[in-house]
Amino acid sequence: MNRQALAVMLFCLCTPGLADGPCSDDASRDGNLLRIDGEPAAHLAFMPETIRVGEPFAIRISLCIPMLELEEVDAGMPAHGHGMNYRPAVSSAADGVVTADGFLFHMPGTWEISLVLKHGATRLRLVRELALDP
Amino acid sequence: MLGCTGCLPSAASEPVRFTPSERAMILSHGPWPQQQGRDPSNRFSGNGAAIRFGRALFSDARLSAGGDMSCATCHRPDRAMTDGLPRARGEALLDRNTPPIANLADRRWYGWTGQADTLWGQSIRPLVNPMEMAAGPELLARRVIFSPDLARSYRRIVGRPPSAESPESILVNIGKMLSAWQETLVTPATPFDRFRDALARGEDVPADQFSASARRGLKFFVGEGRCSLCHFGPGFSNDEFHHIGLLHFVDGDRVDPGRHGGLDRYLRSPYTRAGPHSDEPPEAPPGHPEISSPVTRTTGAASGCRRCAMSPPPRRTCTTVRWPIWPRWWGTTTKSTWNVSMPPVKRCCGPWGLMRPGSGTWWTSCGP
Repeated sequence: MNRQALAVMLFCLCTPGLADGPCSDDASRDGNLLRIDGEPAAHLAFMPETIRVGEPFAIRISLCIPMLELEEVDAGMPAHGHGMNYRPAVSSAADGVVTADGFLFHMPGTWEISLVLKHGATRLRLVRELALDP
Repeated sequence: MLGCTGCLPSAASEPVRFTPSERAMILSHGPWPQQQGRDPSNRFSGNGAAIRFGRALFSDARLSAGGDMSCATCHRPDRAMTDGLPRARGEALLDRNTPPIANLADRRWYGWTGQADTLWGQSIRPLVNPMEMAAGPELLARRVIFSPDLARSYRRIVGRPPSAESPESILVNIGKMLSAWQETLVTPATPFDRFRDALARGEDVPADQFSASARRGLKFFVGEGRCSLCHFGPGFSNDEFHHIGLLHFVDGDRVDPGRHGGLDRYLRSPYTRAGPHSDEPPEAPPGHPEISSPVTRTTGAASGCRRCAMSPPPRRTCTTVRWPIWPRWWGTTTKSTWNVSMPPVKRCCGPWGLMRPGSGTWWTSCGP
């Protein structure tokens, strides 16, 4: 299934109730709403809200499309060619909310948080770029 | 090569100006000293009596199997708490040099390979390691129980006589009291810190307090050199582990497992924050910094670097020889007069009625 077809199908299957939650367009202003071909796919909420170098944090991931599952979440620094020194532990909750705990960015600079979402045999990778100041 | 510093670029006469991003990075290296909290996993952390006893234990050779070695034998107070040797020597020659110990509170990992996540856990390791002080829990317990001065101090602090405790509990409590004292070792503010604080206030410091060459080195460190990306924050370290190009082999043919080996020891150790000897409540409060799933894909070593300039690993060829500006700048982050006041090392173990391991003789007299 190609990306466009998947996006159209996902659009049709979106539940209207999610439009008022973290997946609404209002939530996109902070840059934490990730989209597939323009459609909200996942929203990231950081805990604590401000990420600091060397301090652990968690991400609450709201999946906007119920039929999608989170297969993997990780982070890295592409410019440096390395990831984190830790692997986040993922725990699922109800209503398509997943918590990934145990992130730690050990250097300032540009980090990429990547999510791999799957539906059947199809996988999509979403990326949230984040500049971490010293 | 260092002698050429003065004849390097004409930039030497130009005032050093920092960009906003360099300035932000400089400010991130302070203030110093940092406020430190008590170790929640160590009930003796911040306890005055335990700190005093820990200080005395640090110099007490009764904590070693042979009775001829204390923590201070390698962590020498007159050498910035290290020994100046390329490789430490305990009961055997070790693979790494003795790390200086200071600024140890609130760290995520301890030891060159991060084999401990508590300072007390790290303090226990050399006591029982057969290649270092080689005293197992049973031997250590006997010495504490049968040494009146140790037993008296132990009972006053712990609230129970050592004879009523298991060897494992005595070992853990000794480690925690050693840790309580080591937490208090904090290096003082340095010329760099005064420069950094003045910068934060929008002031400058005279050139005789922070020289032009030091400023050039600092500019390179936080700017083009990108050193601050890893040597980050007030401790000049991000407390993580990196592949830094060291050889994978020790003594030519033995693989150094590096961080992987450290994690392996950490995962098997009972002396961790989440282990049975931790005093931390089982229900960790929100924001608990414990990382549950360390990934075993890195090698190398990390250490807080505020005291590196006091005790650089000897006989290591490093990039400093190619950066004439480096030594002058880095020297401003340390204080050569930093010394730790310690009691003299006790070389003897006294007449405890115990047999010296493997010797067949009784300890009845004290050596020098």
